[in-house]
Amino acid sequence: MKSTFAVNASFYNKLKHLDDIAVGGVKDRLEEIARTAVDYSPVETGAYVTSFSYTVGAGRPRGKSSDNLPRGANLQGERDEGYNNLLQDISRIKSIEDLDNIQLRNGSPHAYDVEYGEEWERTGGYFVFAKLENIYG
Amino acid sequence: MANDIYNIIRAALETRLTNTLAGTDIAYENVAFSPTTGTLFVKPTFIPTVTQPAARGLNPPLLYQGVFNVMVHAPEGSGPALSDTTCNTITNAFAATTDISITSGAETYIVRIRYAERQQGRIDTPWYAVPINIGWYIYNT
Repeated sequence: MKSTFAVNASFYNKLKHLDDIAVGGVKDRLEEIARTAVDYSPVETGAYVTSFSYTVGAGRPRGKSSDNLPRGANLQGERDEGYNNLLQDISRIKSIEDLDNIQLRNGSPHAYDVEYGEEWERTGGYFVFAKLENIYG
Repeated sequence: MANDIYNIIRAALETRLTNTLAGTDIAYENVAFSPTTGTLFVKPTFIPTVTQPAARGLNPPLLYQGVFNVMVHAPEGSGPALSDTTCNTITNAFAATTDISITSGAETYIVRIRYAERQQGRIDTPWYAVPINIGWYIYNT
């Protein structure tokens, strides 16, 4: 026994509309997390704050070393660059399938030191990821 | 009392840690401490994150939340057992849903634990350091 049903095209359009709403909501949240991440980040050379990535699809995550970079970088300028990097990643999210596995990463070699400050004598860690998890996790 | 609330939260968390790790060296924040090479020690850091109204209306109670990071330093090359044991003791004492009460003046406060999360260890010569992040929150006026 077999039955065949025809699904009205408007049903698919409604599903697509729901997907768009969901993706838009997630993108808003990712933008908020991105803003918080760069605002919590220290800026000395700018290497750390510009090394954040959202992993969306293929592509190599950003990762800059602070070696040989001048100290005293422009605080707001570097933070804006870091934020714009993340906005670029978010703009690559096109469909709900792209949301399967998104991670926020920082690929700078000194990311662990920035987080925990283990080898620093004058300042402690900045606990950027610990704070983000606490607020948004 | 709002201005004192962070002192109370810190006291609750640090007292819990001290009682849990009796006999272990603890490097409290902004207290002179010289680690003894070859002897395990832990370093707690109190990190408030967000304070926000917990309800609508005038004078709502406030939700305070944050992280209590405990870095376990075991001697480098001593194997994982020593740090594992200490990490397990800490994560058990601060397990999710644990309530930690503390009395200050006439009031009793309850700091609640939302999560305790041990992360990957790393060599930081002469130590093997393992971070534990403990999420806490408290409602208060």
